[in-house]
Amino acid sequence: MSALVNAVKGLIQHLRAMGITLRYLFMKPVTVQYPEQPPEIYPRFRGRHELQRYENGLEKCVACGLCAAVCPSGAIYVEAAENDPEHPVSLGERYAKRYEINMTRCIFCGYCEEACPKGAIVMGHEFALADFGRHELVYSKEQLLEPARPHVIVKQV
Amino acid sequence: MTNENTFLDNMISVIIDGREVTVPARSTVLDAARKLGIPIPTFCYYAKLISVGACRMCLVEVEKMRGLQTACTTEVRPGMVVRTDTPEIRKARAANLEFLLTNHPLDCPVCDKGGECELQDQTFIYGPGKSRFIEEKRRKAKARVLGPYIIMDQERCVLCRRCIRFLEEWADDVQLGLFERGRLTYVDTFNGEPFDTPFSGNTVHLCPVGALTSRVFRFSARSWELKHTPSVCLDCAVGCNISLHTKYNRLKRIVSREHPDVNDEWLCDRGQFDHRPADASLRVLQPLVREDGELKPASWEEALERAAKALREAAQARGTAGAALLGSPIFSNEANYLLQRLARGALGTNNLDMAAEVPARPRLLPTTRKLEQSDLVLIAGMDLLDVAPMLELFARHAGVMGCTRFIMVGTERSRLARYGRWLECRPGTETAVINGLVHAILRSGKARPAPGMERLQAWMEPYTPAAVAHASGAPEAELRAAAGELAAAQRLTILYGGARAGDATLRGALDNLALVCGAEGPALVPAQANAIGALDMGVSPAFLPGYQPYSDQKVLDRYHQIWGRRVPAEPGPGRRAWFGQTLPAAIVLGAVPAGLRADSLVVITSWKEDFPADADVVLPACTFAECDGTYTNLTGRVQWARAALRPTGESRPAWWILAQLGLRLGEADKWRFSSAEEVFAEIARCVPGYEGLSYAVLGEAGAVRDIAPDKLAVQEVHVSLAG
Ligand code: SF4
Ligand code: SF4
Ligand code: SF4
Ligand code: SF4
Ligand code: FES
Repeated sequence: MSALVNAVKGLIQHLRAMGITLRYLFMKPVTVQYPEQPPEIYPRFRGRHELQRYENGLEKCVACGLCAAVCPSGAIYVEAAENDPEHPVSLGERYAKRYEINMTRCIFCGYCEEACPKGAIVMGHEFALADFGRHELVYSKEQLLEPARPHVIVKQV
Repeated sequence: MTNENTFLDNMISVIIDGREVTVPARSTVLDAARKLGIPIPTFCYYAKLISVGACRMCLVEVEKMRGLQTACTTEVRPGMVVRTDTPEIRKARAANLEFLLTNHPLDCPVCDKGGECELQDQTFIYGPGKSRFIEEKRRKAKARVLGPYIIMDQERCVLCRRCIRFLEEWADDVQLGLFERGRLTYVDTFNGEPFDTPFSGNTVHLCPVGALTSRVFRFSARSWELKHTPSVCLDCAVGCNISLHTKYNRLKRIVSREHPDVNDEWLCDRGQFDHRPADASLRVLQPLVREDGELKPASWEEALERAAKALREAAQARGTAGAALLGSPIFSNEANYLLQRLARGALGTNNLDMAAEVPARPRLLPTTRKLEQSDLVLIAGMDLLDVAPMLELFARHAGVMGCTRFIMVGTERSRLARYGRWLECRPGTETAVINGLVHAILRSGKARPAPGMERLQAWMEPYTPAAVAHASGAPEAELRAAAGELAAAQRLTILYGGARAGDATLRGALDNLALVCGAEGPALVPAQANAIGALDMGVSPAFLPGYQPYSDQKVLDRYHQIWGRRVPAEPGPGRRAWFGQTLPAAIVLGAVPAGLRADSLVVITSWKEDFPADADVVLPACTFAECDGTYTNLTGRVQWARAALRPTGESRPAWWILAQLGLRLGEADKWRFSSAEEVFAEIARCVPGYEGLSYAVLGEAGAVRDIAPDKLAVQEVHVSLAG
């Protein structure tokens, strides 16, 4: 008797499970066919950093080192130098002679962006950073100043 | 009992925030609060400067006094009741900061003071948090180069006048002033003259904000990124306590460490901005060995073998006259100790000497602050500013404060002469002048009694002030007046040294002067940082470590046992005998003196410029910034400079190099040292006066070694009195 009850109960469970499977089968898939298809991300997505410039072309970074100080993984290296008033690199007396971020160390926490008093370091939307060597993953100032062209769709929220 | 009463009378009890505290009369409310550990924010107040009450940051409430009072200038009165933390005070502090910030550029991100700025810190603790100032800020000069080391941002200045007060009260060289009025006031030099006083660097740490900053350090690091290593300045014999601030194994700046008996908290510009020890371009980077008539890079093994072979062969061929060893008044005690150990305990010779003239067992100052404690200071034959800048600073301070007068005997005018007199004399006649002073004091009948006084009287007979004035050019009236002052002085200090450190006649004459004045003997101010230490270590042909004579067989036996070889009991000839001939072999610590020639010349040095082209082996040594070492300053204080940087190139500590040579030349098992600390442990065992010292005992403050100078006695000193 109880064996029969159990069998029926089991069958109901199975049909339920199949129901879920069937429902998902007809839903819109979440898998993105990257790179043919760009992924959708939120505006505040924290991707690879980008160093910013003012409209007149001067760099925003003044090499204050706060980003390097706050970085929990020690990924940022800043070396400062004094601006030549005739040919300034940044707005202010000091600029970053070298500015490097080691992407193999970065945990994309965004603290650097938060610490920056000048809005100079901003986390962009680029996330496809794979490369063939570790050294290529230490981004120089020039690379970081280059605006990324991420292959993404930014969700409007 | 009476004593106790006066003591009590001089103490005053006050109540601060409900707690009672007793402080000496004439203390300020701020002193009393600090004694209780109650924080009161300040800007213009600085413990080592006279308070002026300029910034109004330290406001407190005093019962029965109208309005808020400045704690830094209000003296305590019996029964005073003070409150430091009321809503009114908090409001006043916030308002004060808001005012300071209205025109402050707030360029913290580019300011070198950022992270160690008093304005930042206090705004954080006491500030209003938000600015209501939306108007345009007034503009002043930025990045204005004031002098060789100092750059100014006038917008950041909070007009506390600490910089100017330091120049007035300590450096005695008022090169900065306040100009304009009200919100336009700014600090600047007069008429665009450079700010180049030899103590300008101190204003960098005195300035509470980033108005005065260092040009040497400028933008090279941020304060929180720096590693601090306690060290000692080796640019003169004062041995100021410093901290080497480094980042990524690079020296970024030199900052003073406080030591009440050495440098207080100051540095001179020579020491503070000397970054040579970390400049690789000046350094020998690899061991060099002469090959086919040319110095070529070699491995350490090869270079050490070559050096050892040359020394061994010379010693075998010529015995005690084989190898000559020259110690260094700049290298550490450890290096100098091992150098003399190499001579005596491995090569079996006393043929060693030091590249500086320093008398044996010199009498030293008990502390660098001695000048401020004296009522009269006589300085003979040297420019203190040149020889020991920190002593000059203390002397100027004493002069400004009116506690000390100075008598200068020499050819160069010194600023100190404004606080006394300058007996200007022709070069080389200083001794005659001193004899003239002794003569005058003896004649005046004010001479203190001392054994041998009759003999001295007879010897000094010819040195009448008139004869001395004729011979030296020093005015007779000045001589007589100076003699009167000297005889009347209660706490007289006599200094000599610099280039004249080895001048035995000058020293003898000063001994006589000290005796007739009842003062302590003349104190030596050597020109080089570790001249005293190297001498203590026994780097001399004339005596063993700690000035022990060769005549004591027990001492020789003890060294034999520790060093492994018998120590010869005959004094060496000394370095004067080395010149004018070609020595079989010589090993030189530091710079090779001109005219020293040897068939095999081995040089242990850090600097490219230190060795001549005909050196045979050059062994690159670390600088003091790269290895541990101890140095004995002009007060006999042994101080430990710690390694702050990795060795440049392949350089190694000098003690290691000498120990390696010892391994090859002496009893190998007696030469196994694995650290400078171990060498120092042997110094403590083997150098009388250094007993009980160790790196742990030295710590950050160092310790005074215990070697008594020779007793004062009358000296027969004669000099020519030809005009
Ligand atoms: S995102 Fe975080 S881990 Fe990455 S560099 Fe910035 S602070 Fe460092
Ligand atoms: S990116 Fe921003 S925080 Fe980092 S050094 Fe530059 S200005 Fe400072
Ligand atoms: S420069 Fe600095 S020390 Fe001098 S008055 Fe201004 S804030 Fe004070
Ligand atoms: S006074 Fe002498 S020890 Fe002190 S900082 Fe100057 S050079 Fe160095
Ligand atoms: S600290 Fe008292 S007024 Fe400036």
